[in-house]
Amino acid sequence: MKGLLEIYFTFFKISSVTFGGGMAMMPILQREIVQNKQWITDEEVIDYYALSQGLPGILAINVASMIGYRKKGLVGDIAASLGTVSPCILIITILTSFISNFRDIEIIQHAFAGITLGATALIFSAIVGLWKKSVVDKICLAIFVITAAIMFAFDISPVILIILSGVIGILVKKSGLRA
Amino acid sequence: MIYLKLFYEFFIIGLFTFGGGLATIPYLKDLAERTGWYEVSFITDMIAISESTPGPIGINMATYVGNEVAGIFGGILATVSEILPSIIIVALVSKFLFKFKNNQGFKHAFYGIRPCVAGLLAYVGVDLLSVAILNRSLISTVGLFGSIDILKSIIFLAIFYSIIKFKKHPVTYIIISGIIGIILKL
Repeated sequence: MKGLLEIYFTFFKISSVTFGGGMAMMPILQREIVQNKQWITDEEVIDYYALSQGLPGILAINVASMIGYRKKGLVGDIAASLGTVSPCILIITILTSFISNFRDIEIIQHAFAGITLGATALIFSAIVGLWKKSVVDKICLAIFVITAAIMFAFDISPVILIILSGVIGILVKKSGLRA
Repeated sequence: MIYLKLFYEFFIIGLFTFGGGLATIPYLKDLAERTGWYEVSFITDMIAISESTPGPIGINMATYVGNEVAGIFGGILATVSEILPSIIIVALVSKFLFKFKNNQGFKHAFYGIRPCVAGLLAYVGVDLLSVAILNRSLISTVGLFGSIDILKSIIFLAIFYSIIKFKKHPVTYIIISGIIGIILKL
């Protein structure tokens, strides 16, 4: 039990100082888990990230789950994941109750009108980042364009497109097609 | 039963998200359109809050949406539902993890999935941009290009350029764009 609590609170602490996505958590993980706790090595952290990106699920949780599992099996997996989400639940819950009250104030409305532009710009920078890593040939370019076009034209679930693209990826690679 | 529906929707999102938290946005937009639980324009607020508060952004957004839809318990439920697939999958595959890493079928599937994730996000990006910079009420009278808000477009481009150029933390841009909004009374 003591070990589990330690896993829970370690990930609670890590999550509390992570701002942004799962990748932003990496340097903090390395400091806490590798240098302070010495649970795993730097190389393992990098391996876990590589694996996590190849598995379904939120990146940060996949990595936390793997480290927890490595330490204590399934219960460690659960402790690490819950530790990671607890600060989010606490902070966001408190904040949202405030925001709905603030929303009517004029200055807040102006701020959010500006923030809408900033947040949209952040999405575009994420698209650029994903593009660089994913669109490596003409087939990938086709998948990228067709996915976006289908989403504009039809009312279809993204899940279907993800599954289809996975199948296409396997078929293309198996058939040895060169783009 | 709203809680059952929340559980199902966020479990599916967790199961089909590949990569970082922003990859969940296409699902959250889809969810908004199908259920009417919140407006699509709510998504940019959510991104702003989630980027500016501690914790992985994908998790923050789940809590935020769950809270909006069904209160505090909704927030907790959405979050736990979203991480459940990760917990289960990691437990299932951990024993074979490092064989998985070099599994050809897996690599091949991801060759197709990655550009799809990028395409999904591109669609959402363009859609949110049109909400942000077009005066939608004017489209019928002055046409698509006439309805573009020039000032907002310039601000958007300037922020986008500085993100690419300076690579500062996302919170920096959220704060700056909020200040710009206040000064210019957007």
